[in-house]
Amino acid sequence: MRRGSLTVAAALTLTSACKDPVLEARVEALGPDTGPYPAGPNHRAGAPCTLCHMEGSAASSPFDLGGTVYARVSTKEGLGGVKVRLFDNDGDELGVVTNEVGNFFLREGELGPIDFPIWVELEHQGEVTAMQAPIFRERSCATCHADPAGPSSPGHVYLREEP
Amino acid sequence: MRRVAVAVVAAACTVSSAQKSFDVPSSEGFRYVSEMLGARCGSLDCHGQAGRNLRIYSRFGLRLSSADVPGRGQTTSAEHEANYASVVMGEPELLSQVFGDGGREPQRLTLVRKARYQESHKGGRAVDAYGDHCIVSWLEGEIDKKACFAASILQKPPGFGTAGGSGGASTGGAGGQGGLAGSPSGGAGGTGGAASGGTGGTPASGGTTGGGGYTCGMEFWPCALDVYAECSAAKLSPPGHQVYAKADCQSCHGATGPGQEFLLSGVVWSHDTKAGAEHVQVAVKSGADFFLTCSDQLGFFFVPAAGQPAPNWPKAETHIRAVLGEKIMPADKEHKPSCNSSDCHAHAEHTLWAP
Repeated sequence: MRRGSLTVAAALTLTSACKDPVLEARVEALGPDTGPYPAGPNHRAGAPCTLCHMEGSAASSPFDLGGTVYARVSTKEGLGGVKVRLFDNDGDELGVVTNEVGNFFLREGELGPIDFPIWVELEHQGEVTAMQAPIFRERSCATCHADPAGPSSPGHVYLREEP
Repeated sequence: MRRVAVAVVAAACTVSSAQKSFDVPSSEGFRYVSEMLGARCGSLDCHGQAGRNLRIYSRFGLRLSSADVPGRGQTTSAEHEANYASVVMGEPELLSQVFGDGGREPQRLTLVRKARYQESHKGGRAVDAYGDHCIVSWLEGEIDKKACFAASILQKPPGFGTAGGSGGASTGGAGGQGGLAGSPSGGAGGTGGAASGGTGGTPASGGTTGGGGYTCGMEFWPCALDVYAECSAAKLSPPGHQVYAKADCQSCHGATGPGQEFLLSGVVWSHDTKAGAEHVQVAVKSGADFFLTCSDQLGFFFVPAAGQPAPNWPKAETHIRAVLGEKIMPADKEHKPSCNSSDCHAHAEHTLWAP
């Protein structure tokens, strides 16, 4: 009986110490944060936010959703002041505005009642663009919207096509 | 029916392999199923990933050709073929059995159980009743194109796309879906003519899922228009007319040109063949007037002037549709008689691809 209890206790200890090697490898693959901003709302623009900002990963503050909006398709000039409007099929809507480098994020719980699939629209000074298909479950824009554009990615998120 | 051969390693410690053949549902018409799978399962964050056992290529997700990018152009024939292979190779023995049984007990297939969320599936229930019927009809040996089409159009949430139209792509997204068994009523415009019908229609009834979205008579398309019945151009382009496919049609067919006067005109293309796309409905709605036409064998379409009032272009709405979907011209793009002017759809970056 005693032996059985000890075995269970040891197993629990091992479980709690367990890390996700796949996640760790993906975080590692991001490389070091080369700036120019220190860790905070402006850092790592264009990176898949929730790779680190998720429960059990490198950052302490989990995000519900995060990404970076750029002004144009052809450049990596982050665009601040863009209203990112999120819609779900229940009619729930939520808006979040990008910061000075184009980053936006919703901390854990801030997504509120919005449920996947989520349809996304960007609005900036009268200009509007919208995703053609919804997000089904990914919480980082950059996971799908990686640069360069190619068969598995449409490229970074942008407001307008013209240079 | 199609016979597929699968190489099966007989045992873990042997180097020999054997080929087995299975009778499986046909690839003919599978593109309708494939379009549905692309819309509902093939996003880049789901089965539109190379690492998936069920790998789905689509216009909005993973692309097969290194020259293609998600969100641009149409799903290609090669992508539909690859999707067929992916679906068929998942469980070939079981698929063959289900097909041999006329589609009976389709839940024997993981594809069906996952889609119905009868088995653990991160994407939850992936198909609605139409999508489920689309898959089952393929397993039964006769694809229900209407069900596949309805399921391939994702219903957009209320409020989405109302902030001024969508930019980015040259065409907007597709509309929602209506009931399969809707009773068409209300008037319809004849080909090339203007009509004020479509206002007295009743919403399609009989649809069991979805709700909202496209309901004939209440939305853009009049009820009596059946997208599933191929449309035909009232007048075909003369032989050799394709040399003008990139020209501004109205330069000859405008009020002062040498050709028959058109109210509007243009060319629609097949992304698959890169040639003109036939049987595409093109419609402009302007107030109570509805102008409808159909592309011909070369992809040309036009609405004759013939004394009709011109659309109020700044307020006009333009849609095109074919059996695989619908495209809506964004409201912030200039609507005008010459779809094919050099700065519009004759421009290489704004080619008007058929759905």
